[in-house]
Amino acid sequence: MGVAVVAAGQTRFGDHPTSGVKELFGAAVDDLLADAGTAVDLDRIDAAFVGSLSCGQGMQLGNFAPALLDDAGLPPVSALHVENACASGGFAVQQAVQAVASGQYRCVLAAGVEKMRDVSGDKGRYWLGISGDTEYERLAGLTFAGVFALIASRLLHDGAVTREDLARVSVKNHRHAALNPKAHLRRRLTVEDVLAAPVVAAPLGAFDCCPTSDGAACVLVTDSSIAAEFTDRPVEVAGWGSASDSLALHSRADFTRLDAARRAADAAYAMAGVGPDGLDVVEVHDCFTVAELVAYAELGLSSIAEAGARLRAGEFDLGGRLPVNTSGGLKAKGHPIGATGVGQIAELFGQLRGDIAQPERQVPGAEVGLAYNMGGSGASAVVTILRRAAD
Amino acid sequence: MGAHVSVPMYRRTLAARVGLEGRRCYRCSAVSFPPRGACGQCRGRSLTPVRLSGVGTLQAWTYITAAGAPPEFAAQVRRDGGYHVGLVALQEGPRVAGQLVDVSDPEIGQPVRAVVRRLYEEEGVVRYGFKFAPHMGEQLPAEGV
Amino acid sequence: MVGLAAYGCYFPAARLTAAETERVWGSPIADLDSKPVAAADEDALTLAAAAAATIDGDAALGSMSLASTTLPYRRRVQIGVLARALRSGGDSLFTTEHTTSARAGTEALAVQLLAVRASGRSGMVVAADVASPTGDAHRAAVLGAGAVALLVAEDGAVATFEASAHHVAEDPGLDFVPAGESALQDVQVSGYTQEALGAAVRGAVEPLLHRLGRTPSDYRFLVLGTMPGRLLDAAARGCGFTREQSRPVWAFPSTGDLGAAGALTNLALALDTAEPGDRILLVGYGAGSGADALSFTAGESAGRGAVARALAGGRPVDALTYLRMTGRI
Repeated sequence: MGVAVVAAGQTRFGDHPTSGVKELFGAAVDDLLADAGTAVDLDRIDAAFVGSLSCGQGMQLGNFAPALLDDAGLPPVSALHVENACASGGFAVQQAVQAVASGQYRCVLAAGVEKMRDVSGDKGRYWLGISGDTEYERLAGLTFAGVFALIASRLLHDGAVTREDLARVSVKNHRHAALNPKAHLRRRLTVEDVLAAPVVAAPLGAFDCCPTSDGAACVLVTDSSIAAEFTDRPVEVAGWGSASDSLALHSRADFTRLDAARRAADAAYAMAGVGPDGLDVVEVHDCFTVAELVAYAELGLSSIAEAGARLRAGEFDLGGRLPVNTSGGLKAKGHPIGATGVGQIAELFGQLRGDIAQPERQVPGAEVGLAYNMGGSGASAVVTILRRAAD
Repeated sequence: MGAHVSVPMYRRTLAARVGLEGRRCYRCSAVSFPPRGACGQCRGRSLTPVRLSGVGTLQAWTYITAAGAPPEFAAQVRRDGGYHVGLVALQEGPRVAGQLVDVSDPEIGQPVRAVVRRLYEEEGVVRYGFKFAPHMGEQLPAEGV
Repeated sequence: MVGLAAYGCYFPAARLTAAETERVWGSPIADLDSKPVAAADEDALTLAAAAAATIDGDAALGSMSLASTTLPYRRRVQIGVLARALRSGGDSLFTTEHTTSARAGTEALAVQLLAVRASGRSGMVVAADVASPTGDAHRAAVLGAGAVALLVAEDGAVATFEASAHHVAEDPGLDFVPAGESALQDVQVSGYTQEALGAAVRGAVEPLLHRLGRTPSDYRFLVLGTMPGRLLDAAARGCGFTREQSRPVWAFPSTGDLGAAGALTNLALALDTAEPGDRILLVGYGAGSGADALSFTAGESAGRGAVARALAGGRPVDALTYLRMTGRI
């Protein structure tokens, strides 16, 4: 049974000082309804999955998803909070897809929301650390930046990548975000800017790290047989996969790899019947610059050794062979944890329908897109492949 | 804000944190550290405690700046500034993350040994655990990732 | 014969030098060339663990005593983390903690000598002190940081224990911390301080010499605490010893005042330099006052260089770093 994405909505990612999670969720739903290319009747929703880490003081922790549905005036259907750290959104989408594929539901909302900027810096750092290996990595004083810095340290030592390669990921994604009105950081950067930024966790500097953002996103997933009732241009969910790995880097056979991403991608490629060569546009989880370079390898887009050269040649830029993170990625579009994975699907939905409002950001004729969303430092990963439905 | 690691949770790990106690798999003899519920190599669940030497090789490192440290390390960075954290391959096989002490310029491949230091203090309770200092003893064979 | 089977020291890597002290505060501190400064993640217990770790082997310990005036807690058993680090502990480890004065080091050693003699099992003494961030600046200036560990066994290959004598008196107002406070206080009457020290040391040394039928000249070394040189010389002179017997085994110039670890660090220095058969008189003094005198004969396998090895490779820090490390700024 085919599954389609028929509508998508997303708030701007960034600072929303006057909005809480309910307002953010509601704004994403409003954005979905406002899409002129779709006609959505929210009363048709059979179930909802909401991804969120729910970080922050005073956050609704229990019954999180019912609280959001109720506030937004959605029907009182089965609603479930999905949590897999920074991959919460991607897993919410996958849960929705599987719920439809199973035949139990025909129209399911997948959403993600995070309110991160209500808390002080210290509390924010506390919340960000709780998805890593809390017993050992955290007690060694490691942050997520520190964990990815360890990966970068080894890749640099082995000569697999250069410091400038890391910087170029940031430069590219900021260039893309500058074109995206929904992105958090829209300032263009140069390689020199990235290298000159204050060190956070050597060798990574401030401009190698994604920001903490507020934001929400949602997509409507339906049985393909009814997709036409919502839009004349549905996007097919062609394949999906997900996997887990050890939380701590030190427990992994090769700590420079993100093996869960590779296994999730393999499953998704097999289901979709496409390989890396069949992709037209890709959104990857670039919480830190080094994570995007490793993602190229795990998704089969490039070996680590060639990643720097391909990046330099512009292969992954808008206009390049395979544009990656046309939205700006986590690095520049922003990273409201639970919303991130859903926002990736929303970006691909726009790209594959040719609906991106900024012509220079639209990948012309894109038919197949892949989204890769990761939890923590790779303990969970989810990959989704979307294909423009045949006319 | 509550404790990041509760006192009972910390106490359950003391044998590993201070005594460097790992677990050896009955089935494949591989050593796991930090201790796990199942062997890191063959996933066997029959494990027996084993004392580790604490000697190993540095495989990767980072320097966490004062501004980037988690809040429970604020007291440490106020007095000593930022700190190095390394991934260490212990000579018995397993790998573990730990702060590096008495190093200014860590080098991947350098031998290190475990020392007991304060990790941080919270709820009035000092949390002790292993960190790694340069090891002046015999050189260990370099190991890959 | 019960005695010392092994010993080792640990000092933090950071050093405040006399030159830096003089550059910033205008004058050096008398007799002090350099002193170790503990890192933010070090305390008396981690120093103690590091010193204990220098002693090889998984010797099955029957007992362990810890001496320190700067333990992290005023109330609770604290030696357990050491037992963990040494992989000892459980039901059969007898432990004591000695915390109220600089005499704690020799108290701990005296207890272990008794325990080993009674049980026939090995015992460990670990003494450690770390300059406390509170207290008056003048006193704090001489406070160092370091630890020493001694393995006591039935067969003391490093030194054999002969006999001990002890002394206690009521000398109020010297080097005290009232209950509920943290800063070290002192009436600061130098004549009184010196007289009380001399009387206590004499009070322990003279009965011991008498019992052993010896005179000061039978000893190569008189080991006292890490007190300033003026007091050290007065204490030695007061019981008939010379500077030549006490100054060579006085770590103060390179360690500062090590408190409860002072006398035992000086003992380590004596063991480093002693020839087999040399007699060593160890005196631990605690203000208030009490003193322990213990007589040893050096054996064949003294460690040679344990103190120098532990002091090697220090990293000088500037005054600002020192003040930050010790929590003053």
